[in-house]
Amino acid sequence: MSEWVRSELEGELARSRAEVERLRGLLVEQEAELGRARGRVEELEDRINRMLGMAVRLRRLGPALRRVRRLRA
Amino acid sequence: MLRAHPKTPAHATPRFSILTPVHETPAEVLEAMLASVRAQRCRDWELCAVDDASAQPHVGEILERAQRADGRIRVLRRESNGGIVAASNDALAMARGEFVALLDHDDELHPAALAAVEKATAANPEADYVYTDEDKIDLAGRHSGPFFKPDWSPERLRTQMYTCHLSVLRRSLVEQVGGFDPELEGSQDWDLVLKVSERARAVIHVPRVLYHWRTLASSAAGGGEAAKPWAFEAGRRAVQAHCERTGVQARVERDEADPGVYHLAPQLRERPPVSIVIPTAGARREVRFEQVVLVTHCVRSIVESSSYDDYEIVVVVDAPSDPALLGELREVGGERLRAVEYERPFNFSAKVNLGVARSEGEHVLLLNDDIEVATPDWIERLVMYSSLQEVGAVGGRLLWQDGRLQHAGVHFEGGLPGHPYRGFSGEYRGYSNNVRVARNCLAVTAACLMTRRGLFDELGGLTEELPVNYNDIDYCLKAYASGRRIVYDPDTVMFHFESSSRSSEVEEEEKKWLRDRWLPVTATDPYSNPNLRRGEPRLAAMLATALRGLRPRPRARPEAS
Repeated sequence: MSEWVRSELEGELARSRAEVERLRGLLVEQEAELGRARGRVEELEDRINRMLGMAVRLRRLGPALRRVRRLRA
Repeated sequence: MLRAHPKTPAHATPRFSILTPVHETPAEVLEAMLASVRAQRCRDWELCAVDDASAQPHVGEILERAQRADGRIRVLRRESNGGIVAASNDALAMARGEFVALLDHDDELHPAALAAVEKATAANPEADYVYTDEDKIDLAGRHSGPFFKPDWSPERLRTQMYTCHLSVLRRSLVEQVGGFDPELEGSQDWDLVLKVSERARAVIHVPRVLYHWRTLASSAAGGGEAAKPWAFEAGRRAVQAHCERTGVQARVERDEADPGVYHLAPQLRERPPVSIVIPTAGARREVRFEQVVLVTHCVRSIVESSSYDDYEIVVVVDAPSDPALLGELREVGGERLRAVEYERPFNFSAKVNLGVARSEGEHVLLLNDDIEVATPDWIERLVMYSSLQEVGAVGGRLLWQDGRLQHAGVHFEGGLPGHPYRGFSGEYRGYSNNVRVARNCLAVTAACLMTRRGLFDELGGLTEELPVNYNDIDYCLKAYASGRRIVYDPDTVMFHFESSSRSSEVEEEEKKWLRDRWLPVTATDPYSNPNLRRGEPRLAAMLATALRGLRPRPRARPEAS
């Protein structure tokens, strides 16, 4: 293989590596962005579950609260 | 002249002196504050109200009227305005009670506040400082933003004034520390609590909302930093002085996003040798879309990122070891690296114990091989906490590869450990900044855990009866049971390439082992407020609260004759 071909191939390889690195960087950035979104979904799901739990407890408490209200009145 | 109220207990000195500096308080708010004091179910109190030369005549008139109506209300008027510290110190000088309770002029106490504190101090005669949960209240009397606090957490108090209201302190200690510091106007309460807590025999938390903090534009509760910008800088100075008094080798810095949050930056006077112990099976995995040998990646990140000098890396590999792996590790780790061969059947605890036995550092840093360092001063940060004799172990904030939270301290529910906020975004600050403030917890993960070698040996290292799971939890609980604190440091950040989709692989047997050994400690996690525990039957407590409202309300007292 001539020097010229060798250096051309090495140059091509270096460019390809740089492109792979650039694309990997983009993927990492996108993964982080996706992570933020997924994290936010987790937060909201947790909040919904807490609200639902609270609603269940309040519903269970309903009859007792009604009695208390009657006693107060 | 002071007149005794007919219902004041017979003994001369009251149990509680409520200290209230007053200045230009709106009439309805001042009346509400006074009414909340007079409505206390515990009657053994005096109110030491100091009018800091208010120009508005209604302030003096309301206070005079209250004093005439109830002999337990004592009023002093300052000739000139001296500011909140001077007025608070005047109130302290008036106090005769065994304890002083701090009440702001525009806030309200829950009717059960002093009674609950009285009960807590009666049950804990060594209590020198008691604090309760709190919420916010607006001018219309609407409640919001309850702050359900953890039990006593000294590390948290350095990065957030979390105990805040209601604070009740033993008067003799308050006087010993010199009262309120005029140099720290705006954060004088925090400074006082820090000083008293340094000498307190016991600090007790009452997990009930017993203080209502008024949200006025002029108060820190409503206006944030804009209301009292100087107070937050005074807070930084108060914590800095506390660090200097207690040997915490740190510089205190303010959080950029939240004025009420502070950070400790390590300022180590000495740099003790640290041994980083990494047990590994030499596994390969994809990290950031590239296949890597995890342990090599981990060691490289330590070597390339750490600003600490004096450390060694002890890698514990399974025998027979792979010469290619060892060669790669030596190339990356250089002279810092020491490889130790583990020849027994798999046992994570035994592997770690072997690595620690072969290491020489004063502090031992247990690290998983799927970790990547994100903060250059991570070793300094961990040493800053690990150097404190009362600290047993310290861990950091771990993120998955996509930046979501994996670990921010361990909490317990039903006697079993869990990771709060797991899977939430990395920016999430947590309930009351839980993720962003340093705080105590019962355990941290050994994916990144520092402890002192002497303590590791004293506690018998990791328990080898637990070959896979919970050995780190058990170690932290042993340290906790020996009287040490476990610390979560939010500013030690690491990436943990543990798969986020990994299912729980804990055997029932391991759960049973942990419960059998530690249930008395873990059944009620002291750092998790009972009001926040999920799925706990709160029906009885809520009903009790509702029924308490049926009791006759205290009537306005007749004027003392």
